[in-house]
Amino acid sequence: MSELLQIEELVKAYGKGQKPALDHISFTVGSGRIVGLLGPNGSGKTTLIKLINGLLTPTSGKVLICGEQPGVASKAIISYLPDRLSLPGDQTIGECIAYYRDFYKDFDTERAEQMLSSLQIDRKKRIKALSKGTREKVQLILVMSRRAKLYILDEPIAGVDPAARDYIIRTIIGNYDKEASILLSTHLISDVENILDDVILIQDGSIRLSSSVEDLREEKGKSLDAIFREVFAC
Amino acid sequence: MLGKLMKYEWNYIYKKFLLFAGLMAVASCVGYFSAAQFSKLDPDSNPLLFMSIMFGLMIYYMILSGVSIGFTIIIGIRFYKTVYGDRGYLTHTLPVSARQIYWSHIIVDGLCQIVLCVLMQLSIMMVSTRMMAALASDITLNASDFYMQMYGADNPVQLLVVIFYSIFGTLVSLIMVFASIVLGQYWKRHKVWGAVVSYLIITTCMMVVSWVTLIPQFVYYVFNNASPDGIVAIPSFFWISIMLISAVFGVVTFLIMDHGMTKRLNLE
Repeated sequence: MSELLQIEELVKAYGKGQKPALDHISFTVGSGRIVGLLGPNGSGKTTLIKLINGLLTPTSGKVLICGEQPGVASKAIISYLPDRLSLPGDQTIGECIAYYRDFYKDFDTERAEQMLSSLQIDRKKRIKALSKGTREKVQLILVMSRRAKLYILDEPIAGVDPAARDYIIRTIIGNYDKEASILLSTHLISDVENILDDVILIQDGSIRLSSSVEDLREEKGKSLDAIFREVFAC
Repeated sequence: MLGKLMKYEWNYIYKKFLLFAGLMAVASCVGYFSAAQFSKLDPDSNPLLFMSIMFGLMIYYMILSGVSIGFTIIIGIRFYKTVYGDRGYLTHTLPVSARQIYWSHIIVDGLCQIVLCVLMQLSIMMVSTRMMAALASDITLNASDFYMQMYGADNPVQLLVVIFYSIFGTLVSLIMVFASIVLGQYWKRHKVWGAVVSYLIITTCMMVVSWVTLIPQFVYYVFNNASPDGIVAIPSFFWISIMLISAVFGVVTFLIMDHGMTKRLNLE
């Protein structure tokens, strides 16, 4: 299994004397895997994802994507869905598609158009004129319309209704290249349990558990959701 | 990729740029016609005309100041939102380097600022020469007369120095704004206020250094005032000193901006 993503002894502290948000984290992600980054709110999932995308500077440790540190080359192969709306509100959906097509060589315009048509979303509408749920869907469509090597999705199903969750999960599963990998962070385990190959359980900035879902289910004899509740019991 | 970033920056900024240039054109017309009436400036004989002229010139001055400050604020907000706001999550995950991101802003926004600065110079020249002509109808003023009056530049070389300084100073100011926004990110809870305070600190430092450097030259000027050569030499020293100080601050703030964006990016 080739290593697409390699994290080595990664530490991120937001201030001197403060408890690190991530404390000596190490793991790898190979090609063709769907990895769930699971943990309660404030456990360090988003910090880890930002570090992989080069949006934060690590305090120490290494992040390597295809053997390289986050930079221009890694950004060309990572398709990232942030936990917030990053599309410019004053642009139309069509302009956002043109923006993605201009910058990402792997962007598939046809795929994006198809997904938008299936949801009957008008390309001429401005982002700020869309409902919150539709904005999130548009952002997901743009991210999943790339033929990237690694998709990093930060809380893609948080804050949406169950029907929208189903649509989002279908979109993720139906549109990624099987050679590519997905790193998906969430605390809504039951919704993604069936699509995950591996899980990384993270709490207070440290990895509590890292395993393949199949092995974990066999070993514990429980669903992932039940294991999550057990590990993170308050 | 730099070209693409510049294209999108231009697409965003050109409408605002045209609006501000248009505002300046309107203000220049108001200023010009007010200045043309300057010979009739007598509050006792026609108070209404006096009020109109003063009001026109006040509007002219306010719009010109507003254009300069307003456009800088728009550019600053745009830079902040694109680089450090929610939009930054898209900007920094594009396959471009941090240097390409800030250069796209410096080139496009800087060019717009320079054009606005040149338009402003032309406007001030037009209104001032018209005002002087209205006051003394026997005087005809051209561009070099204007620069002599405004900046003490009495030969083509000095004139070029003054014009170059206007352009160079505009770029340095822009870099100082961007560097302040970058410095503001080190303020954990008040990033916007941090940027504003950083800008005030940088500009205050620059003013203090300028004054400290220029005071000996003013003393020199006073002592040599009797010499005709001294009078000619002082303006050159003055502009060159200011330009050197601007260059030093420009380089320092550029390095701060570069370091903050390439080595210390933290979108929290």
